[in-house]
Amino acid sequence: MKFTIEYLDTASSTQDVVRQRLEADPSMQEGYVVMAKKQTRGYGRHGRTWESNEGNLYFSILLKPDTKQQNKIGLLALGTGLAVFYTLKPLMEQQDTHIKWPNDILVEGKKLSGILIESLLNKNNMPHAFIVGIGINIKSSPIKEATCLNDLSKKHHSSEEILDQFLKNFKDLYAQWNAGEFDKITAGYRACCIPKGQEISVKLPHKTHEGHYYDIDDHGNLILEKEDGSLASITSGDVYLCD
Amino acid sequence: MKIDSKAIRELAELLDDTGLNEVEISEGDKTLRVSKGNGTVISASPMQALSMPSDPAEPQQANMNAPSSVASSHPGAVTSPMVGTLYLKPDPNSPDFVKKGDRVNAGDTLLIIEAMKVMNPIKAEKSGTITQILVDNGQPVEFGDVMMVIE
Repeated sequence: MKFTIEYLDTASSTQDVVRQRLEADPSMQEGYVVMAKKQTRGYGRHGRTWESNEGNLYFSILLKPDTKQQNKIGLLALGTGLAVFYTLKPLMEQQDTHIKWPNDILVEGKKLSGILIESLLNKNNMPHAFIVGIGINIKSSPIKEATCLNDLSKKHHSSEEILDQFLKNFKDLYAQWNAGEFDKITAGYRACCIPKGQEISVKLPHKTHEGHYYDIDDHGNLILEKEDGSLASITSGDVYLCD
Repeated sequence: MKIDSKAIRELAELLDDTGLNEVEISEGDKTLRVSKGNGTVISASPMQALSMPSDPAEPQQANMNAPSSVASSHPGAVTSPMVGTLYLKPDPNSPDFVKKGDRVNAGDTLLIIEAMKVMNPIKAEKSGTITQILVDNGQPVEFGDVMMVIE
C-alpha cells in the first residue's frame, strides 16, 4: 500500500475532506491520507464533538479493501487500534497502557487516542470503501478524562513524526489483514488490550451491561463475562472501566 | 461455572468453515450453543448469549423490538445488511434522516448502523415513499431485520 498525504492547516473534519476527494474522483486509490493541523468540526461516534485544537494529530485514511474480507471489518477496526498502540507505546514510560475495546488507547485510564471508521456503501448497501479517522492527543488533552503524549514522554513529538510512524505500523497490519492472517491481529490485540477480568460496563443507547472483560472473538466482538458467569458477545457499545 | 472458551472458539471456527449460523452441542446436562448473525460486515449480535450451560437465555432486545409484521420478502422492505446498533438520526441533536410519509430517492441515507465504531449509513435502494418505520432510535438490529418499508 502506498500512501499519498495531503496536509491541511485547517479542515472542517479530515473525514469530510477524504469523502469529498473520493466523490470528486471515485477511482481514487486507497491509501489517500488527509492530515489537518486543526479541525473546526472534528467528530467522533454518533456526532460527538472531537475537540481539535492545533498541536494534536488529526487524520483520515481512505481504504478500499477486497470485498471478500469485509466480514472481518471488525478485525480491521481492532488492527487499526493496534497500529496506534504500537506507535505510541514505545514513546511512553507508563506501563499502564492498553487498548480499550474496540480501539481507544488508554494510559492510566485516560484516553490518548480515538478512532472512527465510516463505511461508504454502494446502492445495494455493500461497503465499497472505508474512511478511517484517527485523533491522537499529542500536545494537549481536550478534557480531564483524556491525556496527551507530550505529558507522558521524555521528549516532545510532532504530529508529522507520529503520523509517519503510524503509517509504517498500519501498513504492516493492513497487509496482515488483507492476507487473512487474522490470528496475528487477534494475538497482538490480546497482548495489548485491557486485562482479562477487568470490571467494565458497556453502555448501549437503551441498556447498560455490567461484567468483566473476558476476550474478543474471531470477528473482534467483545466477549463480556456477566455477573452470573455467562458469556455474551457484544458488537457495539461504549466500554467504561470500573475501579 | 466453568467456561470452556476453547470449545467456544472451535465452534465459532466451525461456523466460519461451514457457513452455518448456529451450532449447538450437548454433553450430559450441559449444552453449548454458539450462534452468529449472517452479517456482511460483522457476524455477531450486539448482545448475544454465547454459552448458557445452565442459564435461561437472556431475551434479546433486538428480538423484542424487531418488527415481525412485515416479511423481509416484502418488495419495499429495507432490511439490515448487518448486526449492530441502529440510529435514525446523524447525531442526538439532529432530526431523523427520514420520517413516515417522506418521499426518498434511491441513494438517500435512511439510517446508520454502528458496529465496533464502524458507522454504516444505510441507503434507500429504490425511490418511493416511506410507508413504515419499524425500528426505534438506538435499538440493536440483526442481519435481515426489516427496518423500514418504501413503497
